[in-house]
Amino acid sequence: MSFRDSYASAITGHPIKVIISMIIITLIIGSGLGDLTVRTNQDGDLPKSDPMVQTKDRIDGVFGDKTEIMIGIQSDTIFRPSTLQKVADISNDLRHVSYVVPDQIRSLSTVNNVVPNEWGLQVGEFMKSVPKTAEEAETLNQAVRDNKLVQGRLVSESGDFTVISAKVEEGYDQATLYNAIYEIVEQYEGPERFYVTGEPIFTQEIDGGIQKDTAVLIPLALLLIMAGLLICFRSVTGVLLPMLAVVLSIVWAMGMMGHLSLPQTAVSSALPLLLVTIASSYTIHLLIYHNNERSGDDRTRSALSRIMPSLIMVGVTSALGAFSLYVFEILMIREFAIAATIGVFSALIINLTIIPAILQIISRRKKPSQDSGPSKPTWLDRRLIAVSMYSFKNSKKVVLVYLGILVIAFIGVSKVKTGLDFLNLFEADNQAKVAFNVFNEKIGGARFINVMVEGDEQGAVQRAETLRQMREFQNYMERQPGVGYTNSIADVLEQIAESVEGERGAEVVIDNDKQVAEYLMLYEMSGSPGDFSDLVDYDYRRAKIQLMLTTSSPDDHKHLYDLAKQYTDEHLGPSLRADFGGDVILWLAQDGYVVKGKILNILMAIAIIVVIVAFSFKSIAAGLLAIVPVAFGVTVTFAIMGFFGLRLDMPTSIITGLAVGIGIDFSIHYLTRLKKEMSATNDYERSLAATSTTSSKAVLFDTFTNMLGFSMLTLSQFLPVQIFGYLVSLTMLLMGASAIILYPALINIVRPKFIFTHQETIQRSAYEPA
Amino acid sequence: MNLRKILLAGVALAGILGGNTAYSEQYTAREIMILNEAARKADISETAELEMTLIDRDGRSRTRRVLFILDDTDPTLRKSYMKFLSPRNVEGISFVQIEHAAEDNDRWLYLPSLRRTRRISGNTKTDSFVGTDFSFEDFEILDGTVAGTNRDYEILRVEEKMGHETWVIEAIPATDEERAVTGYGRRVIWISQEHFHAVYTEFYDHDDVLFKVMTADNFGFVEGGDENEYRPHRLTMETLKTGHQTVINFYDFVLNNPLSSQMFTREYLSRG
Repeated sequence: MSFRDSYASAITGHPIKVIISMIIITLIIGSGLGDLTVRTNQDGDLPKSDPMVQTKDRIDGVFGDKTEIMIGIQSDTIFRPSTLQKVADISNDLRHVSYVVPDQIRSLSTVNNVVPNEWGLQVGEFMKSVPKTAEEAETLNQAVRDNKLVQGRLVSESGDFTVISAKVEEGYDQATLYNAIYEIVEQYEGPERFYVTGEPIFTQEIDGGIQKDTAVLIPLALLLIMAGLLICFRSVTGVLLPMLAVVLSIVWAMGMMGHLSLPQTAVSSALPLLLVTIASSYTIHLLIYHNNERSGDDRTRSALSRIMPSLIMVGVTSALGAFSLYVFEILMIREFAIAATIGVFSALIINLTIIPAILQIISRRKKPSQDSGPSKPTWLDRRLIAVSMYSFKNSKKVVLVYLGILVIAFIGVSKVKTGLDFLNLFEADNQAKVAFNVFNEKIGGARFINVMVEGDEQGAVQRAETLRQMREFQNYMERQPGVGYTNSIADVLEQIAESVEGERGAEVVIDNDKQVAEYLMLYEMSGSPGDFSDLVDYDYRRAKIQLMLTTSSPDDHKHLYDLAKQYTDEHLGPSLRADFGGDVILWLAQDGYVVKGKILNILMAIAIIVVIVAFSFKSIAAGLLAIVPVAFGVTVTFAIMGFFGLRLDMPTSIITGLAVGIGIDFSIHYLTRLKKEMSATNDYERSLAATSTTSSKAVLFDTFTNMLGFSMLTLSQFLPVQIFGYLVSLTMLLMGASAIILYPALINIVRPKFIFTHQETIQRSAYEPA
Repeated sequence: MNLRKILLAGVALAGILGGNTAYSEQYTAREIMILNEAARKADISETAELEMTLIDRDGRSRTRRVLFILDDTDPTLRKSYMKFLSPRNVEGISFVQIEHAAEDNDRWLYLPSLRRTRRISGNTKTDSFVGTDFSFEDFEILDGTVAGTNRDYEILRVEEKMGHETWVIEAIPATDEERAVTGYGRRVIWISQEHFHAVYTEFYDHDDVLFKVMTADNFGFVEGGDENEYRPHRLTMETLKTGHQTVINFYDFVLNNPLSSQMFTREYLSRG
């Protein structure tokens, strides 16, 4: 008796013991669920060695790694005592919000105004106290209009919009912050309209939206999958066992995440989805083998014994495929790689233990039922055989059609764009999208790139020459489309200079270093020392220029970054250098890793599959054949993304992980079965027919049920989830169809030795051209 | 004799009559603060060269030297003059502040490279003083005969602090007007029983969060005053949240130099 026979006997011989011990193990592993943590910030997700990350880190080291949230208030005019009171109140409330830096809140009630007047220079808060009357409000309006640092930046040109912005500490929790901000805004809403934006708000809107949607849609998807299973198997066992495998795998995987302190992230929320497809697929294959066995006590044992080799092979390759996501240099995806690997192994173990044990008990009870023996070919079986036969008889045609599709697909793949355009993620009426557009329209943008200009010695920024170069760079950038405005210490100094010179509107030239120092002193005498800490460092060696962006397209961001980099490389000097930072830069850097990771991931996964399958079948041809449906599915999916302008970002990247996991199952089951049939009958046509009613059927059931389930995601109000649903369904369909339709033709043409082993076959291949 | 001398005489007398332990019980918190005011003020003027060192959390520092002259002739409102001596790029900048009881203080600044004198608004006492951790408020007399009427005082305890026997006194704004202008919701002041100077002060904001701490040390005699005119020669103010601190060292500290009547005018500034 071989190992698999004795293993199968052991499991099916003691089903109760197996079930009880598995329940105990599940309880132990499941206890980790209580330790599960959630991480919703992007910190530390990128490798420290990345040049973009390094340049960002240098800025953060000087100016702090602080992002911003912004609250916009819109009304016919904001210069009304009641509205201004809200500005003051919200600015004050924000000070008490966790993660908000209390003294870095910018609003009309906190920023300083520098204005010349008949007797000199006045520096002070715009709203020392909130105007009580319309006249006072009008005076404020006038003051705002006279200050170019505020007009069009803090307040819209037409005076109908103002912003309150707050810097947020590093390591903030995005969900907590998001909720706290909205709590404040809701208190003050109406009659003015409020808009909330900023990096933490965007990302939480996306992550929170995905999580909320999947929480509703995944259970619905499970229900649909169950319905699909019922249609396929027409039995309660056929529905419940795959579902049990799914649930247990999820409990095991998430429980282990808890034990291993792997936090839940935006990426790992895809884990249940992965396990829904993989765990149920393993059970479906087992059930189909089971149904094809002769009835009797031995039925489960022999089904398990037969399917075990391919199940193990499938499990190991899928697990390694999932683990290949580890090549991504993004922490979130790396953690997902570990969790997914554990999940796949869990699904494998569960399908080799508790599922057959339960199946054994059920089939023993059912002994005298009408469900006896391998049933006669059904309508579906006949259709599957017909498809195989058609493909076999038209081998060349089928393969040519596939090649044709591939050629077209490569065009599409070349068009795939990377990066995440926030705006495209949201439906038109989404709050974050609306807010972003309002900010762009009213005050020149809500997102920014930071540029740090660094001199070689203390006080470099206090040199008139440095300021002149900064001003020229700012002028250059302000001419680029997509840049709302720029801001730096140079602007502040010009404002002060203008006030001192007392000639409003006159072009002020700061041409000597002493003048700069005196202007700064003048401001320092009246402002608080924290005022400039966001614009210059302590030694006046480095200055920060903020480029406000009115575009959300990562292509534009990249273009602007390239322009800025080129400009600073060529024009800045001789002792000045520039670094780039801000969340936008982080996203750009991340895009690079998504693409690089993706390509590496695909290559790795393909290599793993080829090696493992080749090793198992002792045939390189087998390895190469196994990847064909996977490669085809992935390529065409990317092509569709390219043609439809869908971007390759983190969520879509995970699809490859899923695809590899599922697709390789199809190939391995199919090839294993075909090889077995061939070695038994040595008749390709008969073997194809037999494979069609077992492996092809399992593949069909698998594809059908999962597509049914994932189709639920396309109902999501949230575009990334919708797209995810479409793409996963598409990939599944492509891979399933490739196994069922392409294999009979392709294998016929290639005639690999591991299938066509017998003498007779070799002779046959001699007169049938390959 | 002015108030200060009367009070000091009173202290001396109490010391002789009652011995060390007895006199501490004689004073109310308010009286101690009046004595504190007396110990801080001169009759005519205070002149010193200040070395102001600003040190950030990471230990990076900026140092500026200024000539500082205070006019103490008005018992309630002070006038101050300041001229930057170094570093080079700010040398020659000079500044005058005239306190007013009811309106905003006058602040004038002379910028030598522009040859211009500019008045800058003195609307808030809470503004930082020349970029230091001190605010303008810290240089005003907050306690004493006049300013003290806006505050309530309480002796919290008596304890030893930084080598001094001290009264620990809490000062709280007494009026809404005062609360509106001051940056401090509460101060806790350790007053030396020996010379009535504050040796340690804690500053609490309006949410009663401790945010600044000041220490005074390097006490020594100064010229021009009475025999036992004792002053701190170093003040350190630390802003707790930022970890930023300012150390002011006093050099050539002289009291009661005669003042030119022109000194605290706009015209005088530009003449340097």
